[in-house]
Amino acid sequence: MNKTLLTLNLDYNTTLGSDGLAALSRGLRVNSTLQNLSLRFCGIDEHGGQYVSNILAFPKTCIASINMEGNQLGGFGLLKLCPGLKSNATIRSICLADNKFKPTDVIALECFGETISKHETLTEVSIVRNIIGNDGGLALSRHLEQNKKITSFKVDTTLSSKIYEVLSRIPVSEKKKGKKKASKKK
Amino acid sequence: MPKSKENKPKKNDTESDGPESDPFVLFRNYSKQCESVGIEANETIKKVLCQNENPNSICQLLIFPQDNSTALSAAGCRALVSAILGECNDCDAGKYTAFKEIRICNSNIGDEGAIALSRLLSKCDGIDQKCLYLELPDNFIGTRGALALGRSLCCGVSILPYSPHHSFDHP
Repeated sequence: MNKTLLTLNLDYNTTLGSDGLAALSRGLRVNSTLQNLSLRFCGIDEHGGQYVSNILAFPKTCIASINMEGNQLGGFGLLKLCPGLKSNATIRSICLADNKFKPTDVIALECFGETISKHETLTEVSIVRNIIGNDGGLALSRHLEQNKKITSFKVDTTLSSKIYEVLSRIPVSEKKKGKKKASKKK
Repeated sequence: MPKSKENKPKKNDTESDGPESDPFVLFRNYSKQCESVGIEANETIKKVLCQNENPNSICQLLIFPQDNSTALSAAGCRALVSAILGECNDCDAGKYTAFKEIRICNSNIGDEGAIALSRLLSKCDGIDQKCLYLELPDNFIGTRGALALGRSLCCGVSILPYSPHHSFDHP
């Protein structure tokens, strides 16, 4: 019985898929030591959202960050992920970048917004490289403004500048880095 | 009167613990395992374990092959895990207990390699083995490997039966 592993990184195992995540989640949904899980570019489709939810919903979980970048969760997967995220009280960072969320996924984005609006521990969220459209952006922004604990919220730059400004939250440390780089170029 | 914990000398993480954490002994055991299954010992592992200037035990194993010829493969991964766990018949000393980080990248270990590593994970009870970080990117790990890894990380309570297409309405 493992009591030590804090980080598990299975990035770029495209053969994993949702079935692989289902198998992995069978153990992880009752794990109380793992803190960081990275499953970038693992070919996980919309069915994977439910399994991420199962992992997050375990009452004794210690998960602090989860990275699902480059999968294909889509709106359905996002919708299924929300209940687990809602009941989780440890997660600080979630990356759902490049997960094929579409402008038509307004209901899923609304649900995700509602979930994170009341979240007590979440501080970093990324949904960059998802073309959610202005309607999707608006659905999120209605809820996001309620949660001031989220210090980093990254969205795609394809949104209209007005909605982008409302949604996007960049931590002060990253802003400083950007300024330093710009001044070095000069 | 119970002794204060603060008075006990703290053990350094990189301090040698004897033959159990001697990288040379581990490499010798790994080579024996490779020989017994008819494969060559991986050059990267040799470099990591034998050409390190630090005489103390090595806590981190990083395998990042430049090309396919130096990839670890499933058989190599099994041999390595057997050597770490001291499972071979003619192993010198016992387990190698110093690894805290294992990073095996792009090494084609597949499901069999993941299953072997899950055996190591299931022995990480925090007393002998203490692997904190496992990174296995780009290794063609599929459902069987994921299932084994998941099982090794399970804390012993299985709530629901496994079915990849099962929909759980109440997580």
